[in-house]
Amino acid sequence: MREAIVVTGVGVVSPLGPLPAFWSGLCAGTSGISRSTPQDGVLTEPGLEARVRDWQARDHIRSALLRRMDHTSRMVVSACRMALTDAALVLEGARAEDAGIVVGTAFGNLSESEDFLRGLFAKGPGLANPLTFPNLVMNAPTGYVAIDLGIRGPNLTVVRGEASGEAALALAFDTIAAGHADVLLAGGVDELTPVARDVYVDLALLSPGENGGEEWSSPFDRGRNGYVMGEGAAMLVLELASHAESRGARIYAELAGYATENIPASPHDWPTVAAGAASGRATAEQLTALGMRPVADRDDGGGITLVVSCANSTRRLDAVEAARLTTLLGMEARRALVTSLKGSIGELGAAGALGAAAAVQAIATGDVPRLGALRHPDPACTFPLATRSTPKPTGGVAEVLLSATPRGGGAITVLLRRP
Amino acid sequence: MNRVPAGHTTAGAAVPVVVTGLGTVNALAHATAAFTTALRAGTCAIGPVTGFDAMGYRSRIAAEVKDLAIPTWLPSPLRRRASRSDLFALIAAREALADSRLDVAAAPTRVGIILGATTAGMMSGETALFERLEGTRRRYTKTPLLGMPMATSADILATVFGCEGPRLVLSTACSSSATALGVALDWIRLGRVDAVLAGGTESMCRTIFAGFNALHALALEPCRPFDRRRAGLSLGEGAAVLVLESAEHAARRGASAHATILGYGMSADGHHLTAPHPEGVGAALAMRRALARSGVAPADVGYINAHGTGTPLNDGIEASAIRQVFGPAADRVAVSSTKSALGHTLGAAGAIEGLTTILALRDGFLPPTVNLEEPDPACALDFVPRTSRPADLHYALSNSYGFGGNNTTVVFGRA
Repeated sequence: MREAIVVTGVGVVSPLGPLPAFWSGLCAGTSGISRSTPQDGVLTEPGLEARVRDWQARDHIRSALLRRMDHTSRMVVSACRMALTDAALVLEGARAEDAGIVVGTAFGNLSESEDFLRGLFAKGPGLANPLTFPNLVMNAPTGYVAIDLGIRGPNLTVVRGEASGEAALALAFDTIAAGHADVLLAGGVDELTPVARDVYVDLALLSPGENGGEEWSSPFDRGRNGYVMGEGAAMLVLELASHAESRGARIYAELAGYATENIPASPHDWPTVAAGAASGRATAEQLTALGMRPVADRDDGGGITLVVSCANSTRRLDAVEAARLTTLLGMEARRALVTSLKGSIGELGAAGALGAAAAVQAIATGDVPRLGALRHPDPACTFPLATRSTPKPTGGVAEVLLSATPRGGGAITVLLRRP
Repeated sequence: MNRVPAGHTTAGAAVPVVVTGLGTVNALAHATAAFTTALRAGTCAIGPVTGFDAMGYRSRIAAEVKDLAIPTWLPSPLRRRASRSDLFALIAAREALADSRLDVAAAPTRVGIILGATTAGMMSGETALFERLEGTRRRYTKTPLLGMPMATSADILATVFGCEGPRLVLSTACSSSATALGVALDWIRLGRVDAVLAGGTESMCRTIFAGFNALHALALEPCRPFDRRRAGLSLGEGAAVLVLESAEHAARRGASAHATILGYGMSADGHHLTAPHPEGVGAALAMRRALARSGVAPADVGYINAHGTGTPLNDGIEASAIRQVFGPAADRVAVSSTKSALGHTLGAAGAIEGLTTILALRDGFLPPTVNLEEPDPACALDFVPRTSRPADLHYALSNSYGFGGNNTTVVFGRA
């Protein structure tokens, strides 16, 4: 029997603020989205965005290192520091030597890449900025965390589009299961950048680019019309249960494992709704093998299954998720509660990391993130949605699924549960 | 780690995993057989840059993949949509699959894909940005940007070859695809899959070339790792994909193995984003972890395919780390750098060099360090200068170190 992997700490940098504000904001259905202000020298038209707030990197990072770091690295290092404090875990000596980190990101430090290329374009290669360049690698945040915390274990960065956060948790799970580390920081980061906004505006992916109307983010809403870009980082402290118990740690939740499923799709696009509807059974089988149980069979006083979906307020992805979750949940659909964070924090590749932070809080507190912007639920949602009027579930939250369907169709579903 | 990792029996013996398929495209050759010949001949493929206008750069040389036609077997939308990086991965993966004779369709969900990469389709993304800055294009269009999300290469391989198991892309700079080989090994040992297409792909782009150029890290002449006069690295491009498979699965279908993959070790320097730890702490730790997890003693290792970039710092520290780990056995182990022949292929380097290490084990030779004329006395190891030599090898290591200060060592054994 494999030893359990547990979550003992959470750190968040988000459009709703750090962990306490992030969690209370999600439960209240509060939006962290606001209108951007015009920036000098940038072509981009102002629009809605979900920018991180109530966070100062200098509160978490010593200045000599801070000066060199880019925005994504600052978010990740801060989130790691907060997560370790939350876990009351001090990494030193042999524990630091073996501890590692796994971060998921879709685009990494895109803003400095853009700056670097703008400089190269304007001034030529002779004046390209050598100080910025090392920061451009996707794994700069994990490199800085190793320097900041002095941790010498696995140092991994995984890139999996809109499932990057879930992919990081999956890889972290396997890294511990394979015996490479007893303690890992795992999560993800992505940032707002002008160039990404320009691209998504031009490709008509942002609200209201899809079919007009007002600019907003409302996953699973009949009137959704594209996404709003967001940013943030979330890091979890993962430990082998014996390691957590030996130091008397508070255990929030168990990371029970993950399922993968290939949904046939163009490698460059989300699957069709029909393909989404035809998927889900293979995931359900894998999750059942991990011990996911039907609500009716629970002998511990019940507790709902919560699904944190990747639905991002686009016509396509939300419809795919609605169809896929209907199949995946099967008989459980009526007793599960489905939500998405993206009405509150916008869309980012590593949203799954913030979803994991929310999942852990849901299990620990028994409350759920609510779809604050939802007006008219899409009738394709055959399952109950967590809306502003949804009460805190009696019996709490026993299990949470993080559901991610990235472009290309390589779906990842992560299962977290009560310890 | 003192704990017995999952996939290892209580006796400590790991589930055996073999390499049954090899595929590569790089500056030396567009397939494994020709690559082996060029490697043994000590050919250097580093020459003037042709992929973009290199005017204004200090260094204007690289190891580029030349004369690569878009394969006729590629489905038509992908002929237009696949980035250069995707194409490299496709060609290498197709060769590896054909070599392994693995029937993916027999159990598609049991075949995974994991790649390492650092910039993916960046070159066409750069062009799109420059055209917008010039004003020659008013809007971004989809096609030039399709290769930008790094996971795309893995999704394309999954689509073209029908692999429905887990798939991931790792991006840990220059150790990316060495770690990808290791994670593939873990997937098989954890029972997630029976086989994995594992490797890495990298195509040249301006960002990387300009960045290393600005750091003064590029050599003006083809790089000469471990040479006293070494003065920097030469960039390269290409891909390598291996088919990794549980030995049991390979035996059941009668497949023959090129080599075994025994284990890998990862570490972080925790020192600096680009400079290696001065005492080689991370490099040594990765080798020690890899050997311990593989159950191989330093004295049994006959060859190390070094990270060996050709920068003054890396090569000296890597040599010293080898000496720390191997002790007196360091005098009996051959060490060479494939980067002297085909440049530093960044996200693809770990996979190409892993493949090189497998060829050395399988065919019994030591690949040379090509441009090595005056071995640095401060390094003082057998660096197999200029010409390959026959050797009877049982175990070999491949080292890969990346920006961010992360290190991976993979251990291979003769089949």
